[in-house]
Amino acid sequence: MKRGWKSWSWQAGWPRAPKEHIEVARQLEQIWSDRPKSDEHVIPNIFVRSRDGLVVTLGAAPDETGEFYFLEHSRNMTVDELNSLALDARRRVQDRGKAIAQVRSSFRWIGILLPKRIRDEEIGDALEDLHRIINDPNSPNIRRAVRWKIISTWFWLAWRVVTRVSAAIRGRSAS
Amino acid sequence: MEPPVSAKAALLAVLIRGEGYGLDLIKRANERSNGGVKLHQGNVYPALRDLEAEGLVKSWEAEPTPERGGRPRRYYKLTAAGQRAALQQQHAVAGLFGLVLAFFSKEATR
Repeated sequence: MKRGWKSWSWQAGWPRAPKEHIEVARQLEQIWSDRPKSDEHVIPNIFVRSRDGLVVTLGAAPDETGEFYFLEHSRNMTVDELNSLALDARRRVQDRGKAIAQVRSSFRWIGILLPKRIRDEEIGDALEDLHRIINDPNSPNIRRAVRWKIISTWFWLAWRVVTRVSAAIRGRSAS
Repeated sequence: MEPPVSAKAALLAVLIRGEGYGLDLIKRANERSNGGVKLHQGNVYPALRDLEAEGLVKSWEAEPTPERGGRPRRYYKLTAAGQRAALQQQHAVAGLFGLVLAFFSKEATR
């Protein structure tokens, strides 16, 4: 498979690269391959080359022909810089994964009181929107947008529960 | 001030251009009206369920996706009756628009 940087990097003469470069490249590869499937946009594709220093290219993506083009920039980094980049990326993946998991579990409780269709549709759409907000690099204030989305979703789900319960008491069906 | 367009009318206008799911329909209604019509979670889902109960739209579930916490998307599409209702609505709006234009052109020539 062409996706990923490992095959590319081996073509670039990795067997002759210094040991420390190979070690960092392996760490990055591990982080890249461990990321959850749902977080594909959190860490962009990473290409690492070993030259005078380590050269990292972020944000590479395949075009329609399947060839890679570069959305961002390449940059020479020291091993320490690369290590901190790897650490940052790992922390970001963990933080976002944790945030999404917390949101999911909070919706699970209120979802128990609602029929499956409403759960699937309203909670599913809210989670999908949250996922988009969290992974949108142009989002101006992610924390506020996420908080607002959670509060509004909670409010509307609670409203659905109230209308359903009151309709059931009055013996009518609620939409 | 938001234009006085009901969620159902906005959804019919959006669905006549093709099927979609809740989040997508909210976005499309907003884009098509240049931000004038704002559908949101509070009004779009009950309106979709009402339209379905009235036989104007039909829905089906697609494959679950990980970003939705393993929940499937529910897509909506106009039925034949829904298409007729959406077209009638379009004609009614066009007719009203014509009346307003006629009124203003009469005022202008006075």
